[in-house]
Amino acid sequence: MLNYILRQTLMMIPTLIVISIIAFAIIQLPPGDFLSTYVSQLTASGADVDDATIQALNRRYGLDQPIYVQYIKWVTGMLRGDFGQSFEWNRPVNTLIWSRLGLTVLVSSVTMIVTWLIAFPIGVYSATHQYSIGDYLATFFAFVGVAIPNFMLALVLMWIAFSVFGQSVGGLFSPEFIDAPWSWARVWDMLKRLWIPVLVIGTAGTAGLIRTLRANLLDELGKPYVVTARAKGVSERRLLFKYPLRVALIPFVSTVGWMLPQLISGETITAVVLNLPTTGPLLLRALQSQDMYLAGSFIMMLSALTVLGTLISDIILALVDPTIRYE
Amino acid sequence: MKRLTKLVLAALVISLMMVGTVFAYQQAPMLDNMDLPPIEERLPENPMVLPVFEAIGQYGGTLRMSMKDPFSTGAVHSGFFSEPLVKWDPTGTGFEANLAEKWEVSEDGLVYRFYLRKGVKWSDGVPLTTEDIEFWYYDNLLNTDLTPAFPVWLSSGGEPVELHIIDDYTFEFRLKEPNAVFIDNLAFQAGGAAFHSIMTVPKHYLKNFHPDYVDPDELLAKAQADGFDTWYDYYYEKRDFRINPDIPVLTAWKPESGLVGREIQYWTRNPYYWKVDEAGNQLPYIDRVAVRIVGEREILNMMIANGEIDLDFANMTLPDYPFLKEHEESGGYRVLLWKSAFGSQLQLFPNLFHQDPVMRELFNNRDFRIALSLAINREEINEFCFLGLATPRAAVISNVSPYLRPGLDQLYAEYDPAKANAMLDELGLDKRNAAGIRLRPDGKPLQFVIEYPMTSEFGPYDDIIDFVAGYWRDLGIDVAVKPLGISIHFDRSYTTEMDFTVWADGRGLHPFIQPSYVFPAEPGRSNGALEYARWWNTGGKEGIKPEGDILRMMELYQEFVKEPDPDVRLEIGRDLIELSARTILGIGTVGLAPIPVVAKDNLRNVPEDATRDWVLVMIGHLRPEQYFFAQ
Repeated sequence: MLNYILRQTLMMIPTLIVISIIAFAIIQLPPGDFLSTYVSQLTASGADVDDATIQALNRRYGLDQPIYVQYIKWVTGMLRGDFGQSFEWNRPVNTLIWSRLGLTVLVSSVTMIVTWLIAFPIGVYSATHQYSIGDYLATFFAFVGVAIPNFMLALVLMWIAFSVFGQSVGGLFSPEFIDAPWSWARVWDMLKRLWIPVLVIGTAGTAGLIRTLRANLLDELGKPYVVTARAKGVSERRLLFKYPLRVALIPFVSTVGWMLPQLISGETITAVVLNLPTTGPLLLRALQSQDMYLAGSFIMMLSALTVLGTLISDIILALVDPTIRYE
Repeated sequence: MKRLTKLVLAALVISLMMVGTVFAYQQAPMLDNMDLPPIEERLPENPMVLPVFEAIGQYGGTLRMSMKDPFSTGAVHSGFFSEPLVKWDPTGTGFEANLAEKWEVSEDGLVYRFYLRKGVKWSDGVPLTTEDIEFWYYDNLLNTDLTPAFPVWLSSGGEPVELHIIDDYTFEFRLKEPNAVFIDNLAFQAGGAAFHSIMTVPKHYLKNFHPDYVDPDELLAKAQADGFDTWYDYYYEKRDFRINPDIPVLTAWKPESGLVGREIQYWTRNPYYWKVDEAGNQLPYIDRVAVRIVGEREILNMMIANGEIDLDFANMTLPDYPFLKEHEESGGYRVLLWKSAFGSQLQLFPNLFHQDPVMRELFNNRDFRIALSLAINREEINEFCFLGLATPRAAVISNVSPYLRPGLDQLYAEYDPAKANAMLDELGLDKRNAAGIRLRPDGKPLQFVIEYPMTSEFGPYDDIIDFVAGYWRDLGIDVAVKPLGISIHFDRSYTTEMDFTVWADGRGLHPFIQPSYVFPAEPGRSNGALEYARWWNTGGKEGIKPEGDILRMMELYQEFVKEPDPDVRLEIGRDLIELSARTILGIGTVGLAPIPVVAKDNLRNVPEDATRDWVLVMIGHLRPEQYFFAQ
């Protein structure tokens, strides 16, 4: 087992190196670079930038150096924990990401917990009560939940919050609490707003989860071992939780690691629409403006988390699924 | 007897008022309990007296505004933090004294002498003197690490203008050749860079971060400890008052915090601000400003309808107008329509250097360009895309500008498809194929692609382009449209690959500051005349020398900036604008679209009728320091 974990861990290193190259290349793919974006934005707002200034900025950002030099500079910096400088923010990338990470993880983990709390009972219910009215209702809402685009739901909920409850919308806090230190009042203020993003991001996840759990469980419920157990007089509840549910969970476990990157970037579109101070909009902005090091470091971080998550999944899977071999 | 009493009373009142303005200054109540020197000592000897737009205001309140993202400070912050030596007046056409109490220009137009207002203090109480000007010039502008490219507007004859310090409050700029737009550029704040301009560098603070004044190694170590690679990156951060709340300022408010990683930025009043109203009240009236970052337009709209925004002059465009009007009552605000200074919200420049020789010849033919212009139904575009509130016109400067001769704004702007068709026929494009598409002289169908930037900054570009393409299809031209990302369009306008360059016609009020909308002056910027612009821009080293009217425009511009006599200059300017309009390098659509501005009902002294433009530093000339909440 230990060997298995070690081997999987070592495998991460070449994977990450390849990812770093791809990440860097992807950012370079769109035509132009940060500077052309920057200058065109200035021009869009009415300013004019002369060519001498553009060349000077090019030198300052090191954009006149060959691609591989830029890459090596970035990668070696990363080994020291220095992710480089964001052009647009004129700030070290680290500080930018850290300042938003707390709230991001908070929103995502609350959403995830709520999703599970809702989806698991419903999923189990609709599998065990297949074709009942409850199952049809759950299925109906699940499909609706999958079908509605998040941004749309966000806009509708915001409109309701605004027009029915007269709540000020957008962001995670009311203006007076944005800069305030943590207090119960601030927590309460946040909870009053948190339900919208949680509901919006949660619906799609909940719906998907219900459907997967239902299908997995239905596969198991008809198997002979269940029939045998039932014939031997095991109570329905005990039977369900002891055998089929555990087996039905295996596909979940194998993807549970992907929750890690989800924690950071899962809510991008919703966060943009809802004006949340999370990392998603920061990433989007960095990609749009080709803020190379910020975007690259983000992609790198997400990839590292995915790889790490996969490792965790593998380990958990090895623990719960006796059919896994360590060879 | 009665008359005498009246006279005496009047005299009394007048003398009282004089005493009021000269001796008794009042400050905001929030400053009363602060440990500050008395108001008389904080104000300069001769404070600037700012006339109010409506009424003498009341102190207090927090002004709530919003910005799209931390990078839109150009739109939101600039006007509030613009304190140049000389400022635009509220009409946006003339100048008024600001930090320079007065200024003199020598008769030959080569020496500009400025007199700083004596006793103006930075927000930490340290006086502003010519030492700060010296520091700005020598240690910032002439330091090649900090300023790799010396600003063009401050150059004369290809070299930096000379700075001469006369005494603590007097200095001169000496030019090599006359420059008619020198003061304009000062008011425009260093070519638009309001944030790094002459009045944002307090020497006593910034010298602590400059290697000429402190040990370079220690400085670098400090910079690196803060995560910067070089001392000048560190210095940029320290100099930027939007990011660094510690730097002293000369502005009405001072940011309490930076912008990075924040959702809201507060500004608080500067107790050393050097302007007063006519009753001797130190400005600003409003205690605090809260700028919230709202990235999503829908959210901002709801916040406004909910009454959570007190002033918005930067984020709204005409399509928002109906929504804003609808919620005026519930939001407790009024919507003003300010003027923009865009001669055309969208204009199309045919590429004069088209790689296809047949197209190149067509585009270089003025009659072809005129025919394209006559085919556009500008009234229809105005009704559908601008609620009928913009003005159908050619792509020329605003009617408010003295440089526009009457009638030029409608030159080739009438809708006359019959004439347009006839003109195309005459150009030898009278043969058509089975599909009704006109054939070029070489027998190929006449077709072009309109590539345009996806932006809604100046108007709904998708819709306008759809209309234009439709009108041109009616002429028998095969037209395709292709939206491009704004930076891609920008990059491509540095090439001769596109059929058209599409952009707004800016500088409607001050066409001769950065004149690239008048004639080809900046490569990649406009005019579809890349090589001519390159020729002008490099002083003839690169590009292609234009001939005829375009060369004449460049000559006229040179005559204009060097002409010392204002009357003669005005005529040259008019000639230039007229020639530019007749040459029709850009085909205009509609222009002067008003800008919806949201102001809370009780927010007063906000002008009802005003012009907002980048050159005017957004609302810098509209005196935001005297806005107040009526209580």
